[in-house]
Parts: sequence; C-alpha cells; structure tokens
Amino acid sequence: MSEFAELVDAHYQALFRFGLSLTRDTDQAADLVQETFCIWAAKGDQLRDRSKAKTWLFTTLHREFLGQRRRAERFPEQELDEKTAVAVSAPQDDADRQMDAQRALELLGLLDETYRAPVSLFYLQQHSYKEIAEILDIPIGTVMSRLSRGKELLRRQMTAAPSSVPKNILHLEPEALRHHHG
Amino acid sequence: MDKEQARFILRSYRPDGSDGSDPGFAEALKLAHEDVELGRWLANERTFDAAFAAALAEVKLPVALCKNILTGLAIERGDIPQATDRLDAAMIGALAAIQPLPSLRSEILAAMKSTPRASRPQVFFWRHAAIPLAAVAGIALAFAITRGHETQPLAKDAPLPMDVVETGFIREFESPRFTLDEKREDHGVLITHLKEHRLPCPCCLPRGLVNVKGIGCRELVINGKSGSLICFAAQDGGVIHLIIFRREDVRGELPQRQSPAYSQCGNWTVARWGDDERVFFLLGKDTNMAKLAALF
Repeated sequence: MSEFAELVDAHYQALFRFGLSLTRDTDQAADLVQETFCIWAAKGDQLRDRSKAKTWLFTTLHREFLGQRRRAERFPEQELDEKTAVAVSAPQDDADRQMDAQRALELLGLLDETYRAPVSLFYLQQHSYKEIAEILDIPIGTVMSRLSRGKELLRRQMTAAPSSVPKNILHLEPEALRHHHG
Repeated sequence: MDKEQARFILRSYRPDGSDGSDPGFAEALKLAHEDVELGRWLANERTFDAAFAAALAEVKLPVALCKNILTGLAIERGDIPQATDRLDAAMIGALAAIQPLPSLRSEILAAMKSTPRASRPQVFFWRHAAIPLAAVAGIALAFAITRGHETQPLAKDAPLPMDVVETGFIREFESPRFTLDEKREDHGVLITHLKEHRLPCPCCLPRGLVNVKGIGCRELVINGKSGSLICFAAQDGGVIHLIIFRREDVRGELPQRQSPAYSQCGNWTVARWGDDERVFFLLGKDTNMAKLAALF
C-alpha cells in the first residue's frame, strides 16, 4: 500500500466527521476532505515532521472550511442551486443507531461555531486539547475555555430537547444521582 | 486548585483515557480521586462524553469517499497510467461542430488578392495602393467587430477580467485554427500533460465531470496569460470545456465550487468559481444553466 493510501485510510473518516460537524452537509464535507488530501498531495512534502501529518490534515481542512465560508459569504448561494443539506444516509436496519449519530451532529450544529470546532475535535478523540489548539490556531487556555463552555451548552441543548436525545446518552441530573445513590 | 478549577481542566480530558499520561491533568485527577463529589462528577462527565463520542463515531461515510479521494490524489500526482485509447467519436463530433468565422472566406480572398504575383502585369500606382488599403481596412474592421466589447486595451501584465477569458476562449474555439495539444479520454493523461507543460491544473473536478470521458486538452493563451483548457464529452452528446487560470492572472471575486456563479455569453453558458490558487470557467455551448448546474 502506498504512503498516500495509508494516510487516506488512517484519517479520512475522522476528517469527514469533522468536516460534517462544521458544514452539516455531506457533499461539502466530502469535498473538504478531498481538497484537504489534494493540498497534501501538492504541499505535503513541505512538512518535515511526518508525525504531524494528522494535525496538518485537520488544520488544512479547518482552514479550507474557513476560506470556503468567507467566499460563500461574498457569494450567497444562487436560486438555481436547489441542493439542500443532505441527511446522513443510513441503512434501514440500522436506523436507530444512525438516529443517534444524526442527533449528535444536530446538537453540534446548534452550537455557535466558536465552540463547534473544538467540541467536535474533542469528541472525535483524535487530538489532545494541545493539538486542538494547534489545529484551530488558538491558545491552549482558549481551547480549554471553549471546551468547557461548549460542552455545557451542548448539555443545555439536550435538556431543551430531551425527547430526541441520542438513545445511548444517559442524561444524569444531580437530583437523579442523589436519588439513585440514596 | 479548587474543585471548580479541576472541573474546568477535566472537561478537556478525553473519555477514552488517552490523556492519562498528560501531566496537565495530574493534579485535577488527583483531586477527583480524593473528593467523592468531584469523582462522581468526573464519572458522569466521562460517561456522557464516551456516549457522545460513540454516537459521533457512528456517522456513516459516503460509500465512494475513499475511492474518490485516492482517484483525486492519483490525478493530482499524475499517477494514473497512460491510457491507450484513441480519438473517439466524441472528439470527431466536437471538431466537426466547429464553425469557421463567417468573414473567413472573404478575408482569405482579400489576402490572396493582396499577395503579389511574379508575372503580374504593370498597373497604375492607385491600383497598387488600393488593394492593400482595402485589406488593412478589412482587418481593422474585423478587429473592431470582434473586439468591440473592450473599451480599453489591457496592460500586458494586468490580470484579465473574467469576461475577457470567456470571450477569448470562445473566439479561439470558434477559430478554424483551433486544435487540442493532447487528445485522450483519460483525465489522468490530460492532467499529466498540462502539468508537464507547467500549466494550471484542477485539484478536484466538479462531481458530474469525474466519470465522463475526456476529449483533450491544450494550453490557452489569452492576452499573454497562459491557462489550461480541458474538453469533456458530455453525456448528452455535447462538449463541456473547463478553463483553468492561475488566480493572479484573473481579476475579480469568485465563489467557491459548491456554489458557482452562472452567466451567459452569447449562446454559451458559463459557470465560474475559484479557490486561493486558481480560477475555473466551465462552458457549454447551446446548453442551459440547469444542465451545467447538474454537474456540481
């Protein structure tokens, strides 16, 4: 297997999920991932420390997303393009589990973008808070602050819409805990 | 460190435990171990985080994503093996559809008349002057007609306006001199050819062009700026032309590929978009915007 194929296999799934949490659109997320790897093909040689490839890819995807969003703000979508956000596809027999993934994305999508990127990276579990700081190009303290606040907001969103909370997430209120532990 | 500070720090502690060896968490973890309430909070936090991370990990990926990425990378690197396919029917059809300029015949005749013959009989001065003057006037008129939309000449090093790129291509394409430098169906071969000639190449093609056959490619020079042209055989039998120029060679703001800007240039429909390094123009003759938009 070539170095490229190994790199793609190792990271494309997490990159796609990160892209999807940012864009909330499967096509845009797939494009972001593809462009990220194309940029790697063109410029990856400049990265001397190959162990940083993963962080480099996530950094590049995030920058591409910010660049695309800037351009999109200057050129709002035309009426001609009737494409709407595509729901995450799921096999019929896996509908319940996929609903959880869908809901997780919805909840992330409800977060302000300031919090969405660090919280998404945190839950992808691919990066430490120090690496998240590097990817987003913000200080470590800011990452911790955004994670703390973002996760708190995430829980509030879940409380606001408890009926559609992912089924595998137990929402434990302090009162319930006290009752449970006597 | 108090409990609130410990909570703040531990909210960045990944639920899979991969931060266990990070000394930045040591003191907060120690406190959570000693304090029952904090320990319970941490357990609750990690349960929630683990469940949320598991839900996110269940997001399904597009079926062909990996394959598409690898194909895109191969194109970018020119790794796709050279195809042996010859010129196909689409190419023949495309070339047959090229129409010469209506004025071409008369221009050729005028030029032939102006060419001196060895055994030409002696004529008066005014007859010597009349034919070249008429030819010059004809050329000037043709120039004025074809360049009529340009009110100001472009400086040689100035970036090109977008409409100049489009009309420049259309003029070149409709010229009888129009040819392709490389005629292949295989996208990889065409991209490799452009790269070898240091011409701008697409990083990724619009979705609808990924699986259509290529016709050929060539360098496209407009006002001294070199760009690339790739022609594709559209599935409805038409031809789609993709023009790529370097960003610095074309002026004006452009949207991203996901939402290109559309315009009409005579009977041509144009979609424009750009990124930080390149600008793209997708043109189809006698097609409509919906058909072009379906390619994105």
